[in-house]
Amino acid sequence: MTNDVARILVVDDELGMREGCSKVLSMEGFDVETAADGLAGLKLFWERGDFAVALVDLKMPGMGGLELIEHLRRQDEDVAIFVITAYAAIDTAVEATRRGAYGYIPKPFTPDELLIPVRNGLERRSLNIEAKRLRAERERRLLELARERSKSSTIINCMADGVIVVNRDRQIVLRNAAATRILPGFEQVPLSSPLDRLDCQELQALIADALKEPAGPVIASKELHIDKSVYMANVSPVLEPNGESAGAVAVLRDISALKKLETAKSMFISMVAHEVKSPLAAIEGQLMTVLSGAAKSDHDHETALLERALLRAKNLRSMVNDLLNLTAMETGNFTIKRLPINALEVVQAAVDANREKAKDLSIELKLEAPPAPGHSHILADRDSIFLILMNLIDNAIKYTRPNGHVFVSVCDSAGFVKIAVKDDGIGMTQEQVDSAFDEFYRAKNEYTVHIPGTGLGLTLVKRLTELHQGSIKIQSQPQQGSTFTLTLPTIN
Amino acid sequence: MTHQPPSIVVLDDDTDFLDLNARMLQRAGYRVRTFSTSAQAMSAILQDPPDLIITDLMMENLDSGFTFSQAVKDDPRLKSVPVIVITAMTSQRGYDFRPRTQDDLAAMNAEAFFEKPVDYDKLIAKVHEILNKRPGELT
Ligand SMILES: Nc1ncnc2c1ncn2[C@@H]1O[C@H](COP(=O)(O)OP(=O)(O)OP(=O)(O)O)[C@@H](O)[C@H]1O
Ligand SMILES: [Mg+2]
Repeated sequence: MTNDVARILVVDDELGMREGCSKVLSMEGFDVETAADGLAGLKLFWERGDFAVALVDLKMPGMGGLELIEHLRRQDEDVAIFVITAYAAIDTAVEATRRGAYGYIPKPFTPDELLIPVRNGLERRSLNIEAKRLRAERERRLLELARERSKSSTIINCMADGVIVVNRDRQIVLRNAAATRILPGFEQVPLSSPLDRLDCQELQALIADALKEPAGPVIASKELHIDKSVYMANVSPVLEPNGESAGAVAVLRDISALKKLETAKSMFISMVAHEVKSPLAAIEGQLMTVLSGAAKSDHDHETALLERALLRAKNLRSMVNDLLNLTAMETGNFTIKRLPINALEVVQAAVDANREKAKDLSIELKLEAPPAPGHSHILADRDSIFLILMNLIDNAIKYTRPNGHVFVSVCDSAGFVKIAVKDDGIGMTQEQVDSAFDEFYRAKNEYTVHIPGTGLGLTLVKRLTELHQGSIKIQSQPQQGSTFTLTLPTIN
Repeated sequence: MTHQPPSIVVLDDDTDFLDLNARMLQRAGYRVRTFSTSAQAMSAILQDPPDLIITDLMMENLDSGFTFSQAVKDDPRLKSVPVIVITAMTSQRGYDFRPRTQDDLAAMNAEAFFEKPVDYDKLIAKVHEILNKRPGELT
């Protein structure tokens, strides 16, 4: 900017003055423009704009010098304005400075008397401009910083994880809303409180470790039990660029839900292990007994043992099958093909498939079809619906004493088809009803101990029903019987 | 005095084990009564206390075997009846509850502990040993 040729505006009604100034300043390499009155000067300034210096005569016809100065100053706060006057009255000079002139040059003047103030003015102007630029720069940076700060503090505050920052003097210097919520009584602890105000010994110890010298970029992790929740605490040292410790930051993540899942999973696995181990032990015991010859004298007993072993093996295999299906459903790998099918037809097929068994056990198995069949179309996977019904009918027969009755009925009602499997068997207590759908649950009583089963049938029924947006309800009275009602949405 | 073989009550919710155990013990010459629920077993043994009880650990619910043997110990009419514990499940949630010392056995009020499937030679030997140790009982 300083390398550019400085442009100077001379406004004076005296031609001699204009030409004199022009000549002196041009010879010094300045670019000079002149105007004969205030208005013309202002117009030039407007149009060209980039004047570094303006020399203004005070006494001019039309717009006077003082007025022009005011206009120029309003146009450009940096232009160096000098008043040229023959009557250097102190009060007009003061007034001119008040309106924005740098100083005044009394007429007449020698070339140097003109050049020195002009050069000084130019210098002062560029200093002003530079100072202004620096100030603007600093303000911009401050603003950016403030914005950045409030942005990151908003982000930290919105985090679901608790964040606590401690400086190397063991003072708590930052914590977010989540941290305040997680740690008991933390709200009452003001910032810059010492670390030991933290109401969690283990977390204190972790942070204290991270503050120890020589610090390294190690993150310590530990599970913490606070209130009824489990948190994973990750504490890492905060290092200065030179490697010295600046403090430590602790992040607390709520892992309660994960922990619960983990416990449920390991309980399930130990349950499966037990359910597999028991029948295997029975089969082993039966085979060992046969092989040891202990049952040799009693041929019927030997055969009975082998038959029982076979039954348990079959039962075990069907349990593994059910388990695989259940796991597939849980992981979303169980695909069902939903096609329009006639519910009545599937019910009929499932009833037919159980006729033999019912007859063997002297149980009457009857299907009560609706008066106007053919309306019970559902969008469903036929194999799944068949499996559901097989389980329900199998249970009804299994848990009913000889000479009992099992009734299966189908009826339509406003967008739903209801399939009920009703028996007058051993029934269930409310407690048993509540657990009936749980994995491996089997009611234990004098009657059920003699009935083989894995306790997975109804679990499978429930999951399959849910996959079809249906529902299943149990009504049951001990010694009176049970009714399982399956409700499935019909097409449209 | 008539020589009556000792009587044993066997409790297990697995009917196959109940059957196997009963037959093996009968073959060894004992009188055996079998039950598949602890409620049935309890009312029967209160009526007519046996010389020995053999019980499974896992029945109606996971600790009902423990509860049963504790109830036997707590009843003045039954507390002198020895108990043998048999189970297929030897650990739960990583906790192995197989007894290692005499104190462990005492804690579950058991004279002996067997894992399923049972080695019947060992079981019968143990039954003999326990019943012969008891004063006033027959040889
Ligand atoms: N119709 C019924 N009447 C009485 N109790 C029933 C009936 N249906 C089911 N239950 C009870 O609910 C329990 C769970 O049934 P579920 O079908 O899941 O298992 P299961 O029949 O024992 O074994 P499986 O997996 O071989 O079907 C049964 O063990 C039984 O105690
Ligand atoms: Mg079933």
